Amino acid sequence: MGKKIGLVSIALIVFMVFLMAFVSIASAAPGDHSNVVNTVHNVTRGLPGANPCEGCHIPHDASGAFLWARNPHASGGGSSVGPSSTTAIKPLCYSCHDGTVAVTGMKTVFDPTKANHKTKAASTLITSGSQKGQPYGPGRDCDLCHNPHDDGNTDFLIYGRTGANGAHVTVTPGGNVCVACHAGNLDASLGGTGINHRTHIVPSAVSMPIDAIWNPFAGDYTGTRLFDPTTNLVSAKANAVLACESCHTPHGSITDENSLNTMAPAQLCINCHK
Amino acid sequence: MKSRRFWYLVLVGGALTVLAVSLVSGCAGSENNGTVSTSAGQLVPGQGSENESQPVSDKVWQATLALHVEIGPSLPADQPADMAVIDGTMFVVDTGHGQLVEVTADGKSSLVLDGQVDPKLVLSAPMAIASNQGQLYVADSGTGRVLILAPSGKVSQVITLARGNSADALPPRPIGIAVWSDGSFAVSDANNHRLIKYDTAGNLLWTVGSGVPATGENGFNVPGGLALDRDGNVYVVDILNAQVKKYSADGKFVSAFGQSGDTAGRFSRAKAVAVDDAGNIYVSDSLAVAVQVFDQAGTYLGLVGRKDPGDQNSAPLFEAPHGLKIMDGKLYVVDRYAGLFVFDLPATPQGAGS
Ligand code: HEC
Ligand code: HEC
Ligand code: HEC
Ligand code: HEC
Ligand code: HEC
Ligand code: HEC
Repeated sequence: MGKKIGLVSIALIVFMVFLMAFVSIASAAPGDHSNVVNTVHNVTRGLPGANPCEGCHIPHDASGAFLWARNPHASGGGSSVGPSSTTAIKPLCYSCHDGTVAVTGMKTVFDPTKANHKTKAASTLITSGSQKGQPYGPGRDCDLCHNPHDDGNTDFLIYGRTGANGAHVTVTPGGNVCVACHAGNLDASLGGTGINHRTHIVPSAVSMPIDAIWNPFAGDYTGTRLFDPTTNLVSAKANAVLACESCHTPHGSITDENSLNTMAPAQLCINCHK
Repeated sequence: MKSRRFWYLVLVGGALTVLAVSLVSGCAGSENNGTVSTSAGQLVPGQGSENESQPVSDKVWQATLALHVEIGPSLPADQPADMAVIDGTMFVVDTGHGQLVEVTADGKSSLVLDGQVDPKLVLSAPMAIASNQGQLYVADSGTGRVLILAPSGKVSQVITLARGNSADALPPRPIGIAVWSDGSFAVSDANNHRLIKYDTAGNLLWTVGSGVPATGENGFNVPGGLALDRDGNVYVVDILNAQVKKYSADGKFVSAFGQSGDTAGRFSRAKAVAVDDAGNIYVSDSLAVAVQVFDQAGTYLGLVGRKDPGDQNSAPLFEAPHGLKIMDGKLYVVDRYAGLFVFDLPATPQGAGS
C-alpha cells in the first residue's frame, strides 16, 4: 500500500514537473511579449475573447494567398511582394500611428522629409555599450530602439532611462537608449575618435556637460546662456537636460547629417551658447 | 498496472507540454502558421484543395491607372489622407501641413488653400473631406471641428463637434466624414469609438457606439473612413474590428462584413471606403497595400493596386493607401506617401449580381 502511494506520488511529481514546464513555457516563452497585454499596444483591451496580439500579428489563413505585402518580421519573407521599406516594421507601426488609431508619431516619426536613423549591415556587431556583440541588422528598424511589446521604460523603449532626475534620455552609460550602442561615441567603428564625442559630450562623467551633474535649471554655469525652460530644444518634457537629444533626434532629421535636430550645426550651438 | 498509470500521467504531461509549446508559437504568429478557419460563404482564394473557390488571379478588378501625382511640386503635401472632387478638380487634405491642396484634373498644377486664403481656414491634422452641392466639408481631427468651405477656400461655417454623449471623456476626434444631399453629415469619432450624425447647423442627430471600444452591430474599435451609397446608407470602416459596417441614413444597423487576416478578402488594416453605383464596396488597406473590392454580401471580388493587375503578388502601386472617392466613373485613391491615383473604371458595371 505504502509502496503504491510512493509510486503514485512519483508519478505525480513527474506530472508536476511537466505541469511546471507547461506553466513556465506558457509564461516565459513569449517572454516580454506578454507584457503587451497591459500597455496601450493592446488595442483590444476590454473586449471579451479578444486576442491582444492580433492588433499587430494579423492572423494568417493558411488556405489563402498571402496578401500582406509587408510581413512585420525583421527577417521579412512570407510574401512575394517587395516591401518598399527596409523592413515591414515601419509600415506596421505607421498603420496605426498615422493619425487614425494613434495620434503620436505622425509628425515626429513619419515625416517623409526626414531621413531615418541609420543602421548597419547584418554582419556588423555592436562594439560597445550594453548591446555589445549583438548584430545591428539587417534592416533593424524601429525595433532598434523600441520594443512594441514592452512599455516598462516608457515610450516602448528597449533601454532604460535611468539617469539623474529620472530624465528623458540621459547620458548615463548603459542606461541610455543612445549610449547602449554609441557609448558616447567612444565607438571607433562608428567613425568616432575613439576618445571623445566630436563636440564636448563626454559620458564618462569626467568632462562636462553631462546631465548627471549639470542642471540647466540650477543656473550653475555662469557665462553660458542655457535653456529657456519653456522653449528649450530637448522637448517640452520636464527635467529636460543636456543629453543626446539636445542636439540629435532619434527619428532622423531633415539634414540627413548626423541626425542633428537643426539644419545648421552652428545654429545648434547658439541655442545654448548665446 | 501501477507503472501503466505512471506512463499515462507522463503522457498527459507530455501532451500538455506539446500543447503549450504549440499554443505559444501559434500566438506569436512568427511563422505565419496561425489557423484562422475560413467562414462559410466567404471566397478566400484557394491554394490546392479542390472544393476551394477560384484562384485569386481570376479575380481581376478592372481599373486602369489614368493619373498618378506624386508628392512634390504638383502635390506639396505631407501625408495626405483624403480628397474630394468637384468638377474634376481634386481637393486633397494635406494632413501633415494642416491645409488643403487643390490639384487640377490633369494633375499638373496645384494651389494651396490655407489661412492666407481665409483666416478661418486653420487646420490641425485634418483627416477626411467630403463634398456636397459644391461645398467642401473638412473633418479636422486635431481640433474636433468640421469646416464647411467653398472651393475658393472661403469658409462659411466652423462647427465644433458636440460629444456623442456628454459622458464621453474626450471631445470627438473626427477621422472620417460623409455628407448627405441635405447638408447633414456624419463623422467617425476615433476618440470615443462612435459614428455621429449632425444636421447642417451642427446639432447632433444620432450616434452609434457606446463611447468605448466594442464589437457587434452597434460597436466600433476605432471607426475610420466613411462613405455613402446611392440610397444614402452610410458605410463605416471599423478599423480594429476589421469590418465594414453599413447603417441607414437614420442610424439603423443594416449589415456588416469582414475579418482580420493577411490574405485576399481579409482586412489587415482597413482605412477608408467608397461605394460605386452598382453597390460594390471599395476598401483601402494600408497593410495589404491595396484597395479591395467586395459586393454587398461581403464577397471578395478583386483588388486594385498592383503593378500587374492580373497578379496580386506583383509589386504594389501604393505605399499606404487611405482616402477613397468614386466619382463619374473614376476611382480616386489618396496615398499617405505615394500621392494621388486616379483610375478609370469600365463603363459596364462589374461585380453586380455575381
Ligand atoms: C504593437 C504591435 C505588436 C503587438 C500588439 C504584439 N506584437 Fe509581437 N511583434 C511585433 C513586431 C513589430 C515584431 C517583430 C520584431 C522584430 O522582428 O524585431 C514582433 C515579434 C514577435 C515575436 C517574434 C520574436 C521577436 O521578438 O522578434 C513574438 C514571439 C511575438 N512578437 C509575440 C507576441 C505576442 C505573444 C503578442 C501578444 C501577447 C504580441 N507579440 C503582440 C509587434 C507586436
Ligand atoms: C494596433 C495599433 C498600433 C500599432 C500597430 C502600433 N502602435 Fe504604437 N501605439 C498605439 C496606440 C493606440 C498608442 C497610444 C498613444 C496614442 O494614441 O497615440 C501607441 C503608443 C506608442 C508609443 C508611446 C507614445 C505615447 O505617446 O505614449 C510608442 C513609442 C509607440 N506606440 C511605438 C510603436 C512602434 C515602434 C510600433 C511598431 C513596431 C507601433 N507603435 C505600432 C497603437 C499602435
Ligand atoms: C535611435 C533610436 C530610435 C529609433 C530608431 C526609433 N525611435 Fe521612436 N523614440 C526614440 C526615443 C528615444 C523616443 C522618446 C523620446 C522622444 O520623445 O522623442 C521615441 C519616441 C517615439 C514615439 C513617441 C513620439 C511622440 O511624439 O510622442 C513614437 C510613436 C515612436 N518613437 C515611434 C517610432 C517608430 C515608428 C520608429 C521606426 C520608424 C521609431 N520610433 C524609431 C528612439 C527611437
Ligand atoms: C541599436 C543600436 C543603436 C542605438 C540604440 C542608437 N543608434 Fe545611432 N547609430 C547606430 C548605427 C548602426 C549607426 C550607423 C553608423 C554608421 O553608418 O556608420 C548610427 C548612427 C548614428 C548617428 C550618425 C549617423 C547619421 O548620419 O545619422 C547619430 C548622430 C546617431 N546614430 C545618434 C543616435 C542617437 C541620438 C540615439 C539615441 C536616441 C541613437 N543613435 C541610438 C546604432 C544605434
Ligand atoms: C551639444 C550638441 C550635441 C550633443 C548633446 C550630442 N551630440 Fe552627437 N553630434 C553633435 C554634432 C554637432 C555632431 C556632428 C559632428 C561633426 O560633424 O563632426 C555629432 C555627431 C554625432 C555622431 C556621429 C559620429 C561622429 O562623431 O561624427 C554620433 C554617433 C553622435 N553624435 C552621438 C551622440 C550621442 C550618443 C550623444 C549623447 C551621449 C550625443 N551625440 C550628444 C552634437 C551633439
Ligand atoms: C544644450 C545646450 C548646449 C548646446 C546645444 C551646446 N552646448 Fe556647448 N556647452 C554647454 C554647457 C552647459 C557647457 C558647459 C558650461 C560652460 O563651459 O559654459 C558647454 C561647454 C562648451 C564648451 C567648453 C568646452 C569644454 O569642454 O569645457 C565648448 C567649446 C562648447 N560648449 C562648444 C559647443 C559647440 C561647438 C556646440 C555646437 C555643436 C555646443 N557647444 C552646443 C551647453 C551646450
